Amino acid sequence: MKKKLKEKNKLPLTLKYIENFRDVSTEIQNSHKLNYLVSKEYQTDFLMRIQPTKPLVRLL
Amino acid sequence: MILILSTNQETTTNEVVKWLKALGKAFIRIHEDELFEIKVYQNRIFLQSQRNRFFIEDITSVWYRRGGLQFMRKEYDNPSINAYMNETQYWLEDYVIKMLETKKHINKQSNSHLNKLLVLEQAKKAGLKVPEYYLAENTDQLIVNKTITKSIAENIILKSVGSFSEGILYTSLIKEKERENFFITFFQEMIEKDFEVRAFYLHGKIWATAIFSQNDKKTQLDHRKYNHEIPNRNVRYNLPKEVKEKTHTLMQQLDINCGSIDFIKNKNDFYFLEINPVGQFLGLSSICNYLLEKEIAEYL
Repeated sequence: MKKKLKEKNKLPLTLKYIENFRDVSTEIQNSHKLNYLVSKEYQTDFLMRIQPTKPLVRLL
Repeated sequence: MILILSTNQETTTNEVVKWLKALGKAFIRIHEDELFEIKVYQNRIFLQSQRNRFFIEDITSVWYRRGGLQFMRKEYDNPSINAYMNETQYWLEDYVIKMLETKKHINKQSNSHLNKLLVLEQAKKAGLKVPEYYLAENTDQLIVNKTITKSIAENIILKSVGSFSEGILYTSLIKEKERENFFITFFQEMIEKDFEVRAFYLHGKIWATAIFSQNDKKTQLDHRKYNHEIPNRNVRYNLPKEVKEKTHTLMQQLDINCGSIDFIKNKNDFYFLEINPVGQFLGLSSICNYLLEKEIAEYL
């Protein structure tokens, strides 16, 4: 098992196949402030500001 | 009054709330970081946090999405009084949680986490086809390029590990044998798929989507490795009645009335993979026009 992660105890083989999920860039960290609103009505500070577009074909 | 147990930053909850508002249904949303105190007013139990205050008897239905009710526990100086009061408080908390679960509900806090291994055993008992699986500490018996491994744990995204700021454990094909032993690992026979089926189950009803992930090398083993350039084709799909009935039996045995269920279609067989009671379904709901968020809001 090629060691990507150094630990004192053995790890499951599954962890050998760990992949990069995403890089935590400042853009991602700040997306919370940019793309989401605080909403009392929805009782969250994570209400999406923009609705994702839906292809017309999907509306049929 | 509807009680929603969720997390603050949870998009699916927002979409269901949108429908609750449209349907004129009142709701209370509880976040993961809220701490409740159990109180009594004129013999009626109520819960109070920094954000919310409500009587248990006023709750008509409960949706357990994520997070859960958390309680403030008082501590006492005398160790045996402390142990006694700890137990007393535990039973009160248990009473509150179980009382809420006796109401009309979608999933429960007390069994929201599933043991993947036991689910597979139960699925076989329910008559579903399950790819052969086993646990091992070495690759001696393993057939290379025909076996996959995946996480036993629910949480597959790990922060700050190795060179990754966020690493993920997808389903992976084993391409070589290992010389050394490792920690107990889950292995499963790789099934060649015609396509994948992701089904959403709610109280006996199933909405399914066929995901054509087999032709793209990136998504061949795990469709969550999304190809954003050329996305997989996803279409509405009707599972055979027999598979639906067996899935319903399984969900009843597990005492879960809502969840996302993964299957693989291989020739005439549907192989059951796993259930995620708190899985994401908005994407498929949108693509297939299933309006699952509305179904949830209407059920509550």
